[in-house]
Amino acid sequence: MSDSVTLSNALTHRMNYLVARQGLISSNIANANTPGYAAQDISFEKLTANSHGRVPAGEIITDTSSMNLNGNSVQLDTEMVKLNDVQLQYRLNTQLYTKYAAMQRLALGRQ
Amino acid sequence: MDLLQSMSVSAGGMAVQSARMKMVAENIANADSVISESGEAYRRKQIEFEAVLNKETGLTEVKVKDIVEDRTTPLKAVYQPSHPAANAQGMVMYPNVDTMVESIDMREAGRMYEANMQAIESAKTMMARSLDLLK
Repeated sequence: MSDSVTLSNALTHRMNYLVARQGLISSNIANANTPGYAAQDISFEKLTANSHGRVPAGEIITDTSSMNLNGNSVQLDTEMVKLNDVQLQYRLNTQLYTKYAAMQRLALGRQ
Repeated sequence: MDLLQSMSVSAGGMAVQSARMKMVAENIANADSVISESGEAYRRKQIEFEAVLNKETGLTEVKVKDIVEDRTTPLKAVYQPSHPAANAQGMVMYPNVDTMVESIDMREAGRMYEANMQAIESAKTMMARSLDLLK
């Protein structure tokens, strides 16, 4: 395998990130009434040619910008929007993967 | 970390919200209980949540830390000399339950339950999409 980023590598990386983000959003929603809980998110790390597809999913970001009276910083509406976003991105990813697989089948001369 | 673990976090969220709903029901049902096990009027119960980090998955789960009695809000004194529970001054101590507060709490618990349900739904859709890749 060459050092370049392959499409399947990139898609796998993105999907790992999306699953990790979905988990954090679920945690945020579950803890929306827990005093002192700070909302968490994850950053997306760029996949480069020399990272060999072993990039950690990203860095955890703790959001303490808008604290409630009980020290909780979860904004339920923001979390719901993020949840929808993750779902759409995941859908995009799986569809891209399906197309990619179809192209490979085509290259192999099958339909 | 995978989607099943995120689903179990949401399920935990639903469990604590139903515990909260149960507590609200207890409070409303006992809004007029002038005698409780302690011999005094019933005191409204409050639920405390706790965030627990699951080190294996890196996800923060939620747990019920404790259910405590509200000893800050005073009991309501009502003048009812003929009441069997009245004291020497003819006052009866009623529980410190405010049904308005309880119904707001109940609504919020319901909404949060729904939000957790949505999170499960989204994880489910994502799993179904991953399975579709095998087609």
